[in-house]
Amino acid sequence: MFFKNKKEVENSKSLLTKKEHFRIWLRFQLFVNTGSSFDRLYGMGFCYSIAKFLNKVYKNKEDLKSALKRHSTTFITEPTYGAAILGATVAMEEAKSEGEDVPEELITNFKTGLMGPIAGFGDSLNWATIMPLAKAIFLPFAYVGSLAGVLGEVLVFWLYVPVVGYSMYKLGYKEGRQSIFTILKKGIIQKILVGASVMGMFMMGVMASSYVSLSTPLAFTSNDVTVKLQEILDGILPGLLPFASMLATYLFLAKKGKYTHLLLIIIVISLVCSFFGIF
Amino acid sequence: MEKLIIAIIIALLYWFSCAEISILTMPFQSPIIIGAIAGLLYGDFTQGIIIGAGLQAMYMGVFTAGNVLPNDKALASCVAIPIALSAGLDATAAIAVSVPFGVLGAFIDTLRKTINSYWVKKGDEYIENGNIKGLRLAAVTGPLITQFVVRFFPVLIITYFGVSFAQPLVAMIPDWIMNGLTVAGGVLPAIGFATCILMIGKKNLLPYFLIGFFLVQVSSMPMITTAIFALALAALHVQFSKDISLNGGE
Repeated sequence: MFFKNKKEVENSKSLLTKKEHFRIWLRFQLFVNTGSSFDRLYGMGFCYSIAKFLNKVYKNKEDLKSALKRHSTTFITEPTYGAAILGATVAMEEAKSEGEDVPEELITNFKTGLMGPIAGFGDSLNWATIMPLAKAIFLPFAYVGSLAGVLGEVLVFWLYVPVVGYSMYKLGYKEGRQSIFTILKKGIIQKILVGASVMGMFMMGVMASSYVSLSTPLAFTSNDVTVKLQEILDGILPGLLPFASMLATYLFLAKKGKYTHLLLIIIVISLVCSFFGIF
Repeated sequence: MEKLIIAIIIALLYWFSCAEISILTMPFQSPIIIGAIAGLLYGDFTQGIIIGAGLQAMYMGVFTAGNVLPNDKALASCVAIPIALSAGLDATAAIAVSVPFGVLGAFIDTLRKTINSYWVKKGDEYIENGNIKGLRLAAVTGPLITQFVVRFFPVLIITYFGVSFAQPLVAMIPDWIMNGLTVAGGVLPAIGFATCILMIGKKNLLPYFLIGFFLVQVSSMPMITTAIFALALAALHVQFSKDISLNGGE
């Protein structure tokens, strides 16, 4: 089912059965968001959804470990359409496990480059367009206490999400597999890798800018004039505080600081500063 | 006794609705569905749906985008609908009662995402040991236990002892703790992004991070638009690099 044009793809046989593909997607769709945490967002959920697959294809323990590691880093997207990223990731990991020279950075950059735009697209389509529409259609039934008002909404959820989500997974897998072999064959891997790194780095800036937030309520009053510190900071450089926290975090980790320490330091500083009214 | 059983079911319902297992649990956040279930418990199914529809109309347009929960309509419904059904209030009066608990809902959500960092750390350990089975605990079971603790008990207390009993308790949580966790929730994502940057590992490409970061700060452009910039920058970089292998490496 996965490959209709077998000639287009090298090594066209997927290592996975159709059922295994389905289960990867199902785990992702159901559980990617369950363990959402501030420091990794959906990272652990993504890792969980492909852990079994990675365990199957990577026979070497060290290879498996580094694969699990690269997929447990920060990940966030809209899961229905984000399933395309999952599909393409599976395709790339599959090729890599078969001994193809797929650089680790390519996989990471592909994910970090795409998760933001797909989240933007999926969120606005699903939760700002389709779901409110479905709710509005079935609300009148609920107003009069009809069962249709209850079931209609759920049915839209339960039909739309799996149908679109699994199609997206298959699309991502198919396109991912075709492109990875094309790229490897044409020997343009170095160009693609650099381009993907530029995209990944740029999108990390975009994502950090949207998800990292920090502002101060501090204000000074003198001669009946109130000066808000945040306004001054915004005048100097918008996003100065989020950027400073980003920079501090980066330097701490780049200097081999311990992850857990950093986590606790941030929580403690936040609470203390909140107590004194600084943040 | 009957009151306790109803309170337990409502509390379980709230936990389940917030369990974040995609479409299995998401519909149960809907005030109409919570209304229907509460209606069954209180013996007035139709009235439950009608009150739920009233709440739904008020919460329309409030949606979860980008991992933030602006207003916890499930908690509001789980608090307001049982009160409305037992005291014979209409939806408008019910929502007035439930408003203070909206703040509580946001606090609970911040709390559990902070606690989940513990499970992430566990997950890292399992990965280090190649323990595939442990990942289920780190990504699913553990977070569900966290959710149970922070979601089930507050609603059980509110529903069983009543809003007038619970409100002073909510007021007792110091503001600085609530605010402090929100501040931490704003800064903690920096860790994940920093880890990703270190993984990409090309220090010479860091300027692109700066462009992305401040482009969004000054323009607040939509995510999809930023993808166009990303593609364009990547194309330019590749075109104008004399020796691609040198520029790509560190």
